[in-house]
Amino acid sequence: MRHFTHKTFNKLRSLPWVLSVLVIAILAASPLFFIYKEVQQPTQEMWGFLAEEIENPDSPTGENDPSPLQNYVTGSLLMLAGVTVLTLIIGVGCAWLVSAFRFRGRALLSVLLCLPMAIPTYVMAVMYNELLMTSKYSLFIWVRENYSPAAAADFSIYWKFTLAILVLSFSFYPYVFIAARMAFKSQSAAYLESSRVLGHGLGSTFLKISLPLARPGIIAGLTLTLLETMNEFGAMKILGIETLTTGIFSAWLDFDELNSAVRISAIMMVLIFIILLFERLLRGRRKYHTHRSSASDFHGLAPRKLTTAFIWTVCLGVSFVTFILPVAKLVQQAALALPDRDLQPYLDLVLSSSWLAVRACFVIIIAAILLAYTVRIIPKWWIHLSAKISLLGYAIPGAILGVVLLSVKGSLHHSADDLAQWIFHSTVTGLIIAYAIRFLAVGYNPIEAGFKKINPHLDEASGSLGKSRLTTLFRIHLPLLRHSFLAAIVVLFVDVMKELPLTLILGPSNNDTLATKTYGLFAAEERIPEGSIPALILVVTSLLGLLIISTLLNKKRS
Amino acid sequence: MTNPLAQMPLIPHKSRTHPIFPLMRTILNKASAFLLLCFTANAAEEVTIYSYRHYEADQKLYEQFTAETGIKVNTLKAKADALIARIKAEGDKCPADLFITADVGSLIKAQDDGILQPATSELIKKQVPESLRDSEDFWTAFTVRARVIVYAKDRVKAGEITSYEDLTKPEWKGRVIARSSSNIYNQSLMASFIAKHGEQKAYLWARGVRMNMAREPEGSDRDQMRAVAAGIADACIVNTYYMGLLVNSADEKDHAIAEKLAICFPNQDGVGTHINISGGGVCKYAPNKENAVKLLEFLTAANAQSVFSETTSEYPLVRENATSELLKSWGPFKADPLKLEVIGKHRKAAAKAFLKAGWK
Repeated sequence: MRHFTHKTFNKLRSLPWVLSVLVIAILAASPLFFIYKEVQQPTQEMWGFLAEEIENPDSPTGENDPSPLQNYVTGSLLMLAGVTVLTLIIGVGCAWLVSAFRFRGRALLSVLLCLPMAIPTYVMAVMYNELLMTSKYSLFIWVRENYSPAAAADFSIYWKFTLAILVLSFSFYPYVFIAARMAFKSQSAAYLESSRVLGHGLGSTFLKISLPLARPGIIAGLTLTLLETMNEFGAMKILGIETLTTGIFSAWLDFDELNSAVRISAIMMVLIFIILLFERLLRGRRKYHTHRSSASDFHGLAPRKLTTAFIWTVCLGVSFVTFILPVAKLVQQAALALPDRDLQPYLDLVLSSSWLAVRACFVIIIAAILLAYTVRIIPKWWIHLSAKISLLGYAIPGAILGVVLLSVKGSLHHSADDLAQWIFHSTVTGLIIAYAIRFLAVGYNPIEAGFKKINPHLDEASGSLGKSRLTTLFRIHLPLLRHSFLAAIVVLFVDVMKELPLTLILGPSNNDTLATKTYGLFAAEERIPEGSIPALILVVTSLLGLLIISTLLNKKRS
Repeated sequence: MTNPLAQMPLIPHKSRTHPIFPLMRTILNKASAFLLLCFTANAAEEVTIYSYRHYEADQKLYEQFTAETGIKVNTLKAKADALIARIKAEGDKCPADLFITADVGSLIKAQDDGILQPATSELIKKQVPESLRDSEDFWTAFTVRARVIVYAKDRVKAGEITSYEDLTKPEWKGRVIARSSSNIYNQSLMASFIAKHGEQKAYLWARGVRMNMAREPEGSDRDQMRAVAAGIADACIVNTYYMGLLVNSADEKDHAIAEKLAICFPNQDGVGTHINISGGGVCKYAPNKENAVKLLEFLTAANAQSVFSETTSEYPLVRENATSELLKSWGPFKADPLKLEVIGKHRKAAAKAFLKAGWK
């Protein structure tokens, strides 16, 4: 009997935690349910045409061209493959260089290599388009004159795919870089020294010891990259690539067929599940603990002069093409329009956009802590599953998420109008909830990783001292998690600042952000110099956010 | 006034040892102060616009409207179809008074979806020619844009190309470019063909243009013109005001590009050049219907009309009244008299024809 009451008490004690996780999971899973329900409906008119091959009277073999759907899938797969290869090479390569060696300026290079995160991908695409336009035209004409017009047409296809892969990789490699850098940094020096003592060179130590040990971290970074790639709309549109995401938008907006759009997004979800499954498989069930405390962290070898020069060249080269060059172009373009512009409205935009981003970060971090902590204190399989489901918002196409939330909003208007008015019209609450669903995974991953590093014995000690779980969270975990917090906030802040589709679909009126302003001038008005001003301010604001938080991080460490 | 959110025992007192906690508290305070501010915002005269037009010039005009009438203008900007979806979802609680878009197809879609209501005034009827507003007063235009052919002066003689149909001729093989078919202006152009010639002929036209393309569709209208100037192709289909954009650009290089190009108003010997509009309609559940009508009156009046032609290089409702030197320099042209309402009806068929034709 006593045993029973104890159990009941325990269950009651867990209730608030369990409930909150379930609420978050249900919120995040509602888009999936919506997709499932829509796919059960009969197909709409255009769906048949999307799957139909296209006649090509010019084809020498008389074969038809692939169907639009095939094009979408091919486009997405090509992007995924290219971005995987490039981000791994750039991200892991640079991370290894700045981790394996200890040299002057290492901290500076590490920061420089993270900075492309501050540039929205669509801005990167527009800048590279501007930078390379003339070379593209000259090459096109050269190919046409030396080969044939058909070869030139093919050339422009190769060109745009190459450029798109480059632009996406330049934007997204920091995810892999940061993950790999963290992983390399926390590797025990003992392993690496043993490997060296046993006669392995630096290269083979990297391949045989460091890389396998860092694999879970790298794969996690790569997964984020791939989900971002799948979801990219702006840059794809600017560079003229058809992917599943652009397909969703055309089905929804051009054909006015929500059902077809949802069907395309269902295909995309299948691809995403395959990616997530791969992540699980590649991470494996193995656990990578270090046995000793961080005292034995690997701090790097002292390189020879020539090696230092090599590292500097490589890392600066990467930083030049991924950050310095596009920002320089942005500055040049903005300078063209600057003379006859009043800057005051932009300053207001900086304040309102950052304030919105800060609030969103706050909400997301709280949700992430709640989720990660519940997983820790109630390690049941269904809690794990709910937590995983909560993170799927990152994988769901932004447009679909927007549509789902709009319909939620509609039903809310019927049942609880005042609440709906408050959430969606008088305030940005609705928008922040949308951001939270979208970006929970971004905040969750570093916090979860932080929790994993805290020894469970601490929880037990606090529990046996009679402290409640909430007290334990606030007095033990949160102080220990501060680095993870800051890491999560950096990425979240920048991501929210850059966000576009949800802001456009769900924001209240008079809610301009730097991102929507840039979008309006770049996409709707096609005025690149004028649009470069808010774009540049957006980049600088994100950079300041990054810098403030990284100095805070460094201060805390010392 | 006490602030309920700030007093929330979110953070137990004892644990406020770390510097992040005061920070969090400040953030909470700020957040709740903001919420209160939103609730207490004064409810003066206002009008809320859901607009697809992102032009800065529009914003200036709205400010002028507020200065003249004292009516505050709230704007929410997004893609037309996203706005329609939003208005539908909001139902009778929709705060929007006026739905504004840069394409007649979206206006008719909004009308068909039942989110607009008839609303007009004598002044609007006087200011807007009959062909540019809905016969049942669901919407009205306030600017006109023509979809024309722009060609390279040095490679194409004036008069060598005179119609949209010319673009499908064999001598134009590999010399034409256009932007993606998901672009709304291309879709409205296609819809006008379907209205006049039927789906099959329109499809064949799209396929013909696609077979003549120098490259797959990519980029914006502006990119098409830059490519023609660079010699990638000899002609492209664009809207007139993008030419104005190049001429008025902050980037010197754009002026050089504009120098190399010339405009052909197609089908002058036939039905005339395809035109489209920017326009607005009063939303079905508009809380401030009268203010919305006032704003439409303002946008269609002579002052705003001349601002549009000077800033966005769009044509005013009455083209002869254009004040902009640039518009005058392009000369008068004959516009397709096709009723704009018809275009909206064929929008989906247009998307289908493009898809079948393989025009990406």
